[in-house]
Amino acid sequence: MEMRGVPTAFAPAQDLQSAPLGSTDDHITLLIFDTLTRLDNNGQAQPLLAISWEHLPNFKRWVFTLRPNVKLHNGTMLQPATVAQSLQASNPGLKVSALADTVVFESDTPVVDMPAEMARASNAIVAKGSNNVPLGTGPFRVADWQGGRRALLQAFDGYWGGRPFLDAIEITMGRALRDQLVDFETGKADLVECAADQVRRSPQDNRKVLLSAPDELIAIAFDKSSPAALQRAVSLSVDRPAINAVLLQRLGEPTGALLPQWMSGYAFLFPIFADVDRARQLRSELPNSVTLAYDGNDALLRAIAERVSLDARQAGIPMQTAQEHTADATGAALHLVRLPMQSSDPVAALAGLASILDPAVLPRMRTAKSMEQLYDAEKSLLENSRLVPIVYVPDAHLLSPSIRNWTETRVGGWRVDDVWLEAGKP
Amino acid sequence: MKFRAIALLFCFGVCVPLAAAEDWSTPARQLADKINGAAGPGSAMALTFNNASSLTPSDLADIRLAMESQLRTQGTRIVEPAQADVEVRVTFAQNVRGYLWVAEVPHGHTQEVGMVEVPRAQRATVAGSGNAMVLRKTALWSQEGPFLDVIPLEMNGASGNALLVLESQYVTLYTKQGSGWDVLRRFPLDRVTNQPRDGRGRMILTSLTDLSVYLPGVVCSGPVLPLLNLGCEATDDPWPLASDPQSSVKGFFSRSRNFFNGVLSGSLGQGRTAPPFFSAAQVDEKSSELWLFDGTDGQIQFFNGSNLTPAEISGWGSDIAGVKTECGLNSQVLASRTGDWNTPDAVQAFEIVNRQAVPVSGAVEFGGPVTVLWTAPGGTTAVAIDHNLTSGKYEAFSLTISCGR
Repeated sequence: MEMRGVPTAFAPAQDLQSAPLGSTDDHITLLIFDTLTRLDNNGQAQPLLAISWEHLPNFKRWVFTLRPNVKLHNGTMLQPATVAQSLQASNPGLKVSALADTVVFESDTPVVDMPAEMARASNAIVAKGSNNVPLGTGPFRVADWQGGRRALLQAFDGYWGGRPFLDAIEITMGRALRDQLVDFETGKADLVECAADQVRRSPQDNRKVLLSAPDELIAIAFDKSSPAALQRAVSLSVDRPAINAVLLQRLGEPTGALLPQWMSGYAFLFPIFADVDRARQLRSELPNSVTLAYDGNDALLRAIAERVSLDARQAGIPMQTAQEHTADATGAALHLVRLPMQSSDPVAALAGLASILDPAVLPRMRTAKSMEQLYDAEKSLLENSRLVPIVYVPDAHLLSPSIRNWTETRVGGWRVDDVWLEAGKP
Repeated sequence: MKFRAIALLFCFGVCVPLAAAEDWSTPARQLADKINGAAGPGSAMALTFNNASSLTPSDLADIRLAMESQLRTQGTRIVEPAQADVEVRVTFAQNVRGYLWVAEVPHGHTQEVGMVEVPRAQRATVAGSGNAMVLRKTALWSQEGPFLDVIPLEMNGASGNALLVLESQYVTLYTKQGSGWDVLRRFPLDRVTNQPRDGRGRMILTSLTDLSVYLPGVVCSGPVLPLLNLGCEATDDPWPLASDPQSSVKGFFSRSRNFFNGVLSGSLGQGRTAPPFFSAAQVDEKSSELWLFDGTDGQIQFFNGSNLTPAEISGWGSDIAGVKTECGLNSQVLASRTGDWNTPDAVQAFEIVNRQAVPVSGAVEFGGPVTVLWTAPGGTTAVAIDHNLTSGKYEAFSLTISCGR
């Protein structure tokens, strides 16, 4: 399989704020490591390394009972203390301890979404092997890791869920989409990424397109130094429905919210339509020139950046675009970014975004006991963050017909341990 | 059965279970209360409704009536927009958890938002046939090792005095001798190699001279009497999904796995492909066949011969079976519940009404996870096999529905 991303580490980033975006890849992480739970397509937590859980009525203490007889990739048994240690590292705001065959979470504030939270890749269970190499319990173990370039994962014979059918997965990283398409069509790769805007353009019989629910937010991130009026004016100037219709062939979801409509049910409350007149009223408060930087290797981001810039100029905002890491992008105050959802549970997903955008508001997310409270928390996070949401896009992949039994979750998570390759394929 | 969160299911905020048939009055009243709280009592109010969910127009009409009634009892006048002091927009949305009803009440340049959450799963409590049924389990067989299917036989004019038991390598015919069972004949199934660890198998019996045994990659057939004698063939022929070999829908079973790969055959299924599924059940829908496929992704799909549509059914495990009875709508689905291999399971009967699953019986508990649930020959009962967590034995039960309590 091939990917654009260049993850440098296979173990989950436990400190989401300090870890650079893209330094890990959740798909790869969850092939190697297990989480306590997984989310089904209804966003409900289901057992994985934990077989059951319970909590106090005030949601301040949770007890997860661990699955017995789980082996680490070095053949030793996974111990509750290891699980607690791993989860303590990824959840510094909680007190995590091991008690018999359970792990216990204690917090000063209620955490209502703990089972969903435990399904996030950042909460995968990581043990330390010799030389401090991260060890997992997942269906595949790392045979070779060349960060950002290539990885070879081999089936783990001792996997508690049964050895996967695939013997190995070879991952090539940092491949441009067009190169991935060539490799796919010449049979060099069985699974490649595909630009969402390309999905409907060239249907062919010899491939299957995997399309998740819209689960990756494309948004404009503003530098802290840029004036608040600029953020408001840009938000008012962008014609989000047109971007979705023209650039994404209506496969995305135009949004003014942080969470997509299918997940929260209330995203429609955040306006998505442009109001050029109101944007123009803010002209006097804007700087003389504004640069929007984007990843030059990402054709969709380039197209969206150009459209955003056009909309902005029509509203009197002097905006230019520039590719990241070029001289023109030096000092750019605006960056077009992709923010993947980390969960299909709305509380956990918003908490995941909050941990990146504003960790100070995390407790408020985690104590949201109703969608009303979550809506208030999201509104507050959006108002205080330097982010303008533009559109949600689905995760799109092309799958070779020789891959059988491929299943994926609503947000594009993979269940590769069930997959097998038709005879004749390596 | 499959993974289950033993844990608690907790409701977020105002979370309203529906107790009666299509009874939306409780959540409607709660949203009306929120609107009145925001707009103030006694106001002249215009309401606009927007449906962004799977609620039907009939549901919406009921909800609207209930809301307006509640608003009026609190002194609010429902008027046209031109006469209104306040215009309230109500949106019926849905999210990954269920329905979300949202009211936007303007306050000058801002607006107040009220929400009510209605779990979608609760829609399963819409009215079924109205007849409470009783699901009973009757012990058929138990043994130390795993087995895949069992069929009680009638021999010499007496029922229950013989039994066919399918294991991954054998079919065994037992006859009752006093309080015990004797092996009359154990027939090894040749060509059966490299079966998956958690393999499955099924016996289809049309008469004592016509038994077919389906295992992954192998089909065996032959008579039970006068001598159990089966010929096996390595083949990927599709398995009947109903209890008779002429099943209108057949499914190709993954040779090395424990589920159907989704490719369908048979008079109704020919040329169609469903997502991979663990089990299937057939019920009647307006004199036509309606099939349910219990997907490996946990999603139930409906199939009526032409369209595959996802069902809004949750809480079912990976085993379902259809039965025909004299009760209620005359066809029910038995479904295991979600769970893990380490926890006891249960099976419950449901009827499908307006494509919703309506429970029509209590749940029958088992001593461990249910590993097998097949419709029994004749189609009126089902066979369930569990792995008893206390004794460690595998146990087979006949599941029978009787009408009324």
